[in-house]
Amino acid sequence: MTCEVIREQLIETARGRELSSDLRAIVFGHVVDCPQCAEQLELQQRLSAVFSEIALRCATPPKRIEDALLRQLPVPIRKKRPGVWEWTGAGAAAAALAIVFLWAQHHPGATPAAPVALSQSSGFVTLPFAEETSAEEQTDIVRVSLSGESLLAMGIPVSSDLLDQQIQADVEIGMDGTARAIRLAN
Amino acid sequence: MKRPNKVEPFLKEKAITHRSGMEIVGKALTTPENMDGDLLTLARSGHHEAFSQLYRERSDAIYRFALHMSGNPAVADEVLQETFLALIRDSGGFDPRRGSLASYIFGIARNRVRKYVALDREFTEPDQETPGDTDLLANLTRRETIDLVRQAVLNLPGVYREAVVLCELQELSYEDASEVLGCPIGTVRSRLHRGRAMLLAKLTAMKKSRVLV
Repeated sequence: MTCEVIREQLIETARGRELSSDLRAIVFGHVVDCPQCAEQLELQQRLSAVFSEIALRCATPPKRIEDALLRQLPVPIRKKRPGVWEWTGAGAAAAALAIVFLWAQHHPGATPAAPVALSQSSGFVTLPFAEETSAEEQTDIVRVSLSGESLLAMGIPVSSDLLDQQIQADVEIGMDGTARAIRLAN
Repeated sequence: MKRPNKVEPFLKEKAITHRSGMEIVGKALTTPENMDGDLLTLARSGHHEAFSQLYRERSDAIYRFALHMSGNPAVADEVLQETFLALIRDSGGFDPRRGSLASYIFGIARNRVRKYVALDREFTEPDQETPGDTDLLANLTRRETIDLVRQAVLNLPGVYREAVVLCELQELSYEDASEVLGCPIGTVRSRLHRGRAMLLAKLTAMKKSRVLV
């Protein structure tokens, strides 16, 4: 290969990235017998080494910037929740699911409404008798682990071999802390 | 019917986990593919932990980019702050189908840098475009070499400086840099090669002037 062609590859060879091993071998093969190209390669390698050193000397931003930005975040809009409890997302999910489950247990004759898919992409189905989620409402999604039997009791179709197994599910929690929809995690 | 099993929250901590899993603990849950977008949505709605997560992941790179482009820590501070403010206030700008959040944030930072730094300055190339002086970066202390290269980078015209900063000092791939700069990969590569050649020429001139001084 001519020096002209090789020199086009010298920078990539010096950078050590984004160049095929075959091409790199050709370049190194050439510079063995070409002092001019060898000199250029050495120069580019030194430049790359300095770049690497600059990249490693990590300047970090002052902490006060993050603090200032956090102060400028909007205040989350929250509906007033009933009672004095400040439920965490996970706690709310657990409690809400338990309530739905208990309801299902004590109303054996009632047939839960057929679950309605919220969105094909999200995979959520609305829970029976859950409040409808408005478009403006901000909901949280919390993952819980519960038995297949519990899921079945809530109107979620579960195959019989999974009834006694623990299954992970994602629960959508409304601003009032109640469960709205559920999807199987896997 | 059996008593219901105790429903145990799968997620107990309030910290937001990163990329490895599905969850944003206790507040929201997402997939790794949607993590950035969901974090941004949460941050924009005032979620401090989501914002901090985004900030911790991105701020160092943005700060260094601004610092390498401007050479001025005060400008880097301003650019960083303005970039993240724009990020949380601009509700419609980011579209994951058009590129990664990282590229989007770099794009904002790039525009902010241009506000503070004149990137289109004339670059007077020395006569010797590709010096053959292999001692160019030798015989200097490490500190001197780094200072010299940093100074030379700051003197590059904007498009070449951006390519050098992103591809060499930020170590972005050509593909990622092309997303940030909004130009084809081949253009990034040619700008980088040209920028490196200019740097070597500039360094030669700088070294000569230092020797003369």
